[in-house]
Amino acid sequence: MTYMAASLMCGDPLRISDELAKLEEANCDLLHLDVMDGIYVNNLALGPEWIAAVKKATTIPIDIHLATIDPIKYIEMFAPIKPEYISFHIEEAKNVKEVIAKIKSYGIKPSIALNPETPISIITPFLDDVEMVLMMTVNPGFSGQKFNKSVLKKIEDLNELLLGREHKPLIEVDGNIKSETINWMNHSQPDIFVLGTSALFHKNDNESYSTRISNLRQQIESHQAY
Amino acid sequence: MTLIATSILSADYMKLGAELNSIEEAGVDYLHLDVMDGHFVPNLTFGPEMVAQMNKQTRLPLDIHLMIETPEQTISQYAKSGATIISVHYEACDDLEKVIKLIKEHGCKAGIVINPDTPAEKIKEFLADVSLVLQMTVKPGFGGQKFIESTLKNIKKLAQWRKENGYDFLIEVDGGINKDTAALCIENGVDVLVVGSYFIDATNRSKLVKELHSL
Repeated sequence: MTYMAASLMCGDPLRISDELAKLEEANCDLLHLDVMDGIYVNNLALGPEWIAAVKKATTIPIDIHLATIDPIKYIEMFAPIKPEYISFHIEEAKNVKEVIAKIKSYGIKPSIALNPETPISIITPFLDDVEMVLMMTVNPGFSGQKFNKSVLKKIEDLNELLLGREHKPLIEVDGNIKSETINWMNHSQPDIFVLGTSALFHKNDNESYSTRISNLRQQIESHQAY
Repeated sequence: MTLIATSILSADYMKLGAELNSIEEAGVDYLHLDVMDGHFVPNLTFGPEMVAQMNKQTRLPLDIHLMIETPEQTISQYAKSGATIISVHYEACDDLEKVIKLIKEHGCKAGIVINPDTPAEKIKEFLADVSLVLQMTVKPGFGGQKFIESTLKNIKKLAQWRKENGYDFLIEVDGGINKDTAALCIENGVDVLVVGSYFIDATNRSKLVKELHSL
């Protein structure tokens, strides 16, 4: 099963309710919401009150990515919204088990996020404890960056590691995901594709979100047949 | 005339474009934007990209209140996003003089913010250099809180020092402002009222603005 997650930060912030209506119509599977604290990344976005308003306005499940230092503090700030997933950066966790337990204590699915240059070996001890692994394919912070090709090998390695395991966290990729970069991931695919400006919210043509999402879905699934 | 700055903290984020139009049509003087990072205050709101989008939608001057740590690192981002006034917390700056200078170098008016429990004396030496002093009348972080009356002491002092020295900064208050607390503030020398939920929840927003303008 392949899931499409829309990165709402890339949508029109002045017309979020319209964006949500269009994403629902497009059968978007998840809303990917980036929380940035201005310190872990040099950008600031998406507060708890904003995300709570989104949650109230839509039926699409919410996937929060904490691009912050001090994950525990931010989990406490965002968990009351009851998203489906919360991802935290393993690079910022002093005690990974404790952070995972904290997310679980709210009944939320825990997910580990890792930057392009962070090796897979760091997350392997925790694969049984998380429901998702968020592999950043760009450095978090700003949209419009280039896909880091070294992550392809990491996806391959993680897929291999998960092969034959009873508990398999989903693999999510985020950063410059579009038709071209999706092709690069053909022979070892992730499960969740985060779509931002380049794949979904751009204004290059008049295609609907529905068309854009279903075209990408088809492209991905055509490779799963082989 | 008392000036009105509307905070969007309790606005409808899902229809922000329409909210901004309604705020502008109501006749307010500034759009007050609360930038929070989750570190300096226990809440997080939005950053420069959202500010830039809002600036495209409205003609109102942007009065930006930075509730963030190390504001000097991002002053340029907010200036580029269209800020008219940028206010920084006395409590967040190691070198306030330098930050004030930086704001002005980016072509914006500089403001200093003090929390309810910070004595006005702490910022006395900077008053000649700023266009605005924002006295927090609640603890910063969340909308809908109750006005803290002890802050009137600071307001009185600020107004007195301004008169004695011929300074021209405006005094702004933020937190728990309604008609009653607004009147108290104005009596004591306040020029700009930040209104959040009181404005957003009003049945007739233009009428409310007219009333506050004439206080």
